[in-house]
Amino acid sequence: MENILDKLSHCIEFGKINLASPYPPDMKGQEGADELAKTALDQGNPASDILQKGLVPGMEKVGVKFRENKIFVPQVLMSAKAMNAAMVHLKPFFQSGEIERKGKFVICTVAGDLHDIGKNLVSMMIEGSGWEVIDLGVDVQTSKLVETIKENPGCVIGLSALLTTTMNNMADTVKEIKAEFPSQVIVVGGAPLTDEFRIEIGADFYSPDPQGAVEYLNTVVA
Amino acid sequence: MQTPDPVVFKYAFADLPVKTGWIEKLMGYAEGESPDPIAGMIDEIFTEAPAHTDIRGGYVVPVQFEILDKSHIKVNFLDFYPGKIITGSLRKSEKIAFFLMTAGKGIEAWSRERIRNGDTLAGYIIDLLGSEIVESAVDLMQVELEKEMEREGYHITNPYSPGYCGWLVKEQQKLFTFFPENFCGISLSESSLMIPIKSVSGITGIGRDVKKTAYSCKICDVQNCVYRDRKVLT
Repeated sequence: MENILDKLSHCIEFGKINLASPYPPDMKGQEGADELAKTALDQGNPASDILQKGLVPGMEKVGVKFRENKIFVPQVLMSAKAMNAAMVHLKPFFQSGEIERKGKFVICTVAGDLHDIGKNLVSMMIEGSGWEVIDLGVDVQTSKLVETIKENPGCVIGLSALLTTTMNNMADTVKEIKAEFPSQVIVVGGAPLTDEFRIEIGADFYSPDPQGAVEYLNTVVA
Repeated sequence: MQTPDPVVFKYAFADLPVKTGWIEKLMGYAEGESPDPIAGMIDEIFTEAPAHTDIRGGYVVPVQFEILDKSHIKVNFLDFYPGKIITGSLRKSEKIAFFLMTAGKGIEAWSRERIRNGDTLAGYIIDLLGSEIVESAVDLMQVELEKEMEREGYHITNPYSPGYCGWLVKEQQKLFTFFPENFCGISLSESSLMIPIKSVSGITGIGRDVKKTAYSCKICDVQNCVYRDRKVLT
């Protein structure tokens, strides 16, 4: 019989939110991430196992399939919604410290850029891999980032830009942050970016897809 | 220098050629092949969209236009630096039109409301639709501009917008001076972003020897640009 955590992982992977959700059609009438997370806790599974063996592997599969163009943004959003439904049950364990986050990830789009779909996807995937995400929103000035770094020492910064022209603002932001916090880890992403640009502006990592950022954070930073 | 009043356009959602299949394609699926619940949600959003749009815009054709070098133009004594790609595309233009278009603030509010209520997928689809609405409205307005110019023996180039092809967004501050304040409800933020978000501004070249082309993507190295290989409505 399939382990409840494997079932939970399956629900995350395919975006099965709860019993009432008719999607995906082949799981209609079945319990979703919401019910399974609660049951897993009731059965005595440690909250950290539910996160690490249920939610994280599910989101990881989502990230890999998205990278390989096997699924697209809507399916990632459905999976994130399923993950959030399960996370509601784990929230008290985060607050009590029973589940330790891997670290804090601060994310925003740079000044002058309002395009937040990519940022939101990265945010969901990184949260789903066990990080605490602080989302500063869109069109964020460097001063706000500096303030947030001071309040959250050791955090990783994620900057997103969609426009070729706001890439210049990203360069300025990285330069200003690195001037004040030379060892600050900064991850950059966005449609027009390349790794050459990342090197040029002095950021630490670039990934063309959210899963790359997750893997970098989990293997290099955490 | 006196700038003529803008020619104003107002469109209903039904006037636009936007199709549900376009949204599916934007999301990565083949037309008609998005899985459940996506296709049904797109249909529902298309049905409700007219109540959330206020599609308005216009163009002006300033009196004076001059190309000063490969990336520098002058319009009514104001200097613009639209970059090499756009300036090159305007090369044979004898005059230009500046334009503004918006889908209205309602579509953005609708998207945010759905996201706030936990329906991120619907919010995402509405956001995509908002972009398609304003782009399609610009295409329709370009057709009208083209008709108008052809009466005088002119043709037009593709439209080009600040933020793309190396034209800095902050140059919108100057572009907006060619329109009345709060024209069609569009304004600029401090960082030169348009409000409502689903708005487009830009420039179109006009001349006897200009023509619309496929976007100059081959000479641009931004592989993931949202305009890459976008077809031009004729």
